[in-house]
Amino acid sequence: MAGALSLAAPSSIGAPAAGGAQRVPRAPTALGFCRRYEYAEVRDALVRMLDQVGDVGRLVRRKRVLVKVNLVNSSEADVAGIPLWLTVTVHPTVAMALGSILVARGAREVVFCDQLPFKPTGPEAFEGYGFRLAEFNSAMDGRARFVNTRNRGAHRDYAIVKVPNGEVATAWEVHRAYAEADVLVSLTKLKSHVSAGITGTTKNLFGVPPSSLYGDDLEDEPDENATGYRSNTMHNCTRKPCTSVDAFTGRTVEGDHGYNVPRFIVDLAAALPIHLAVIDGISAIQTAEGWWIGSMVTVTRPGLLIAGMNPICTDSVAAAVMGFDPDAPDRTWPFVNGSNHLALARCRGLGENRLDRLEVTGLSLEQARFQYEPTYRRLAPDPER
Amino acid sequence: MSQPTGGLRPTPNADAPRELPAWHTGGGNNCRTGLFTAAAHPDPGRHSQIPASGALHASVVFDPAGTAYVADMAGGIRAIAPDGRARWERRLTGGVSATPALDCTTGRLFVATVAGAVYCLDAGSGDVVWQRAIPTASDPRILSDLLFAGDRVVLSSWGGRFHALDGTTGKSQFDWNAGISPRSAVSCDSSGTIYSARAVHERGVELVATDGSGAEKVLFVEPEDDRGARRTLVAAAPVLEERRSRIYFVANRGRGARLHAWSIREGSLLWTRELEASVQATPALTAEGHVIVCDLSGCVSRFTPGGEAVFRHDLRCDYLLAGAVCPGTEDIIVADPLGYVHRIDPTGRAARWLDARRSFQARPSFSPSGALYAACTDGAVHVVAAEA
Repeated sequence: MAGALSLAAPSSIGAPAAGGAQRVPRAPTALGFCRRYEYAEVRDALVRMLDQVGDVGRLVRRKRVLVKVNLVNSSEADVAGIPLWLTVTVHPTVAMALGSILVARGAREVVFCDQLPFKPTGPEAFEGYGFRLAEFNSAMDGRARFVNTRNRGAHRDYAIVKVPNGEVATAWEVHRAYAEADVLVSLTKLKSHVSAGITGTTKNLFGVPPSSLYGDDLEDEPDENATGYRSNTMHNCTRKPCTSVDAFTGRTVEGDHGYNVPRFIVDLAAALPIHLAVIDGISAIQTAEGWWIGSMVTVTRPGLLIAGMNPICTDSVAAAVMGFDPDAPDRTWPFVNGSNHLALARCRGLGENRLDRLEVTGLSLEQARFQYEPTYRRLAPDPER
Repeated sequence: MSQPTGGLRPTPNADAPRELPAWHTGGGNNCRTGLFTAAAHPDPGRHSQIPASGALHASVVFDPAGTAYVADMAGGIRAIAPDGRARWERRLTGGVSATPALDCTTGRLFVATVAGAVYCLDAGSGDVVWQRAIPTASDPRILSDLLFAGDRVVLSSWGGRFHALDGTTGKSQFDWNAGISPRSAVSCDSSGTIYSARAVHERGVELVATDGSGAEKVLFVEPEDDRGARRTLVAAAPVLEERRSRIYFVANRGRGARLHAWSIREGSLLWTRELEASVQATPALTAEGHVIVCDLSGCVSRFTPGGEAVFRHDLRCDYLLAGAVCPGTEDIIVADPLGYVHRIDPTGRAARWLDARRSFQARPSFSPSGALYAACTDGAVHVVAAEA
């Protein structure tokens, strides 16, 4: 992230954490109603909200901005016939509206990234998710680019990003787009998550480590054609990735996704500071994160957008909107299957997650509140079922 | 445990009709028809709101005197008098997504939570008469609208069973297979036979009849599709039309669905119609027996009792999560996830009645006086009073 540190988001330093040992950064989070994916309506809402959270112009002017969008490992699926962008993935209208605002505020280029399980590494990989580059460029003065970061792409090598005080990872090897960006924006969906409790802007970073080094379909060496998910390396931790340096500490618990995933999230968030966090909560799913969970997930419609300049604060407000305590103890809802990554992140000094210390602008939390059905509890198979 | 002490408590009467005029359960009655038995004439110009303590996913139910019972996702339960005053309020552990059921005869309100507990509340005071945790080794959440019939409360949980509990004590009477991730309500005819739908691995979607002893009979199976039963949403309840001895039920298949009409008397399928989109909402019946289906593409379809399509109207709201209701005229009323309430005439012309600005995910209800109560995720019940 060349230059990223000098562009630190305008977070204030909050009160000392318990014991007074650490000061936790915090920044306001904006909540706004938006009932449908109509471009002008979404854009107007985002403009208002970004003005409420800080000086986005100062953040992005003349900068190369990377937007990590929350897409998933298929573009073919649906939830009971409802398309992915209304349920599981970020809606292209939200991404395009955000991109156009960033360009209007002076961004030199906006690169939309995620790793997608398709051979193409350019814009054609995004079409199944409703992301059409020509439409984006029409709204963004030609400054949009799509990059599938499932491997190193056109680069000769990967970037190695160190994790300050990493617990389960000391470094990540990632597509160079993440390292070359000046500003990192995380754009995700307001969803439950089985391992992380909620899908937030920090959980969204789970899509950064490329399949070519971390994928389940690797044998014993990197493979630029790999498209597999990272279940074995970063959920169940039954094997190490095929990275050039051994950066996993081994302090994971084999088979315990609820322990491992939150810690990897925090180590990703520590290595890749998010400067702007935006959550698409207009239409989403509840109970879990994707169509692959089957009929457990159902569509729901909060009609909300959420934005902030500290991802932990933003995700914590999002959890509260969903009806949960963002500082809830481990193994309680919504973190019923494991650890509370928001609390872990606060302990690492990444941001505030305690509700009484968070600043909310735009709508009040009470106005925005939209209780989700909680994440399902994944235990041993029920003998009754 | 205490006995009900509330003000409802009509004298118990064994000869009382099973279907009281009050909209006492999801869909109004145990047949889940969504049909108001008299002609209601809500006046959209007479709009008011009743606040709740959280988003509303469950429909409002009523006693015959017009007291409204409102349950929300923050676990709040409120009894609201017809004049809008709160009679009592109680907070349960766990949000409520399933529509409660009211025993109008003895004044007991049955409520179930996403935390897996079933409560019997005194409808007059809100006091807990009994409560029971549904046993499960995994996730106990209860998402199916409750049913009360013959002093029996019926519901399902993600433990994968339908449970019939004694309405007086909460003790289990019997249970049966509810399939995968159950969220569909059961319905019940006047003889006490319970009809349910379930998704079963390697079989498909089954329509099941269960008698008062818990013995079940599979009436019909919609074979498993390529996606498998695990991905098949079974959320819509079977709808009974007793005068024609019929069950209407929806079986989702892939991105579409099939609407089946089943003859109880003949024990056979009368007709099947292919639907272009899957369905989450329980269908409704109009006064003349037309079937109304709200689907997950945002369309409302109307079929004659013979299965002929009358119209398919696109409300342009992405999808519809809640079923229609019928005010006893030939119109139908639909609440959508954009926050609009629509009135649709018999030809399929729609007019927007109300704008709540946030999504409706619960089927609207009618009070005994014919006012429309639309429970909204904005944390309020939007009330459209009957014409003066």
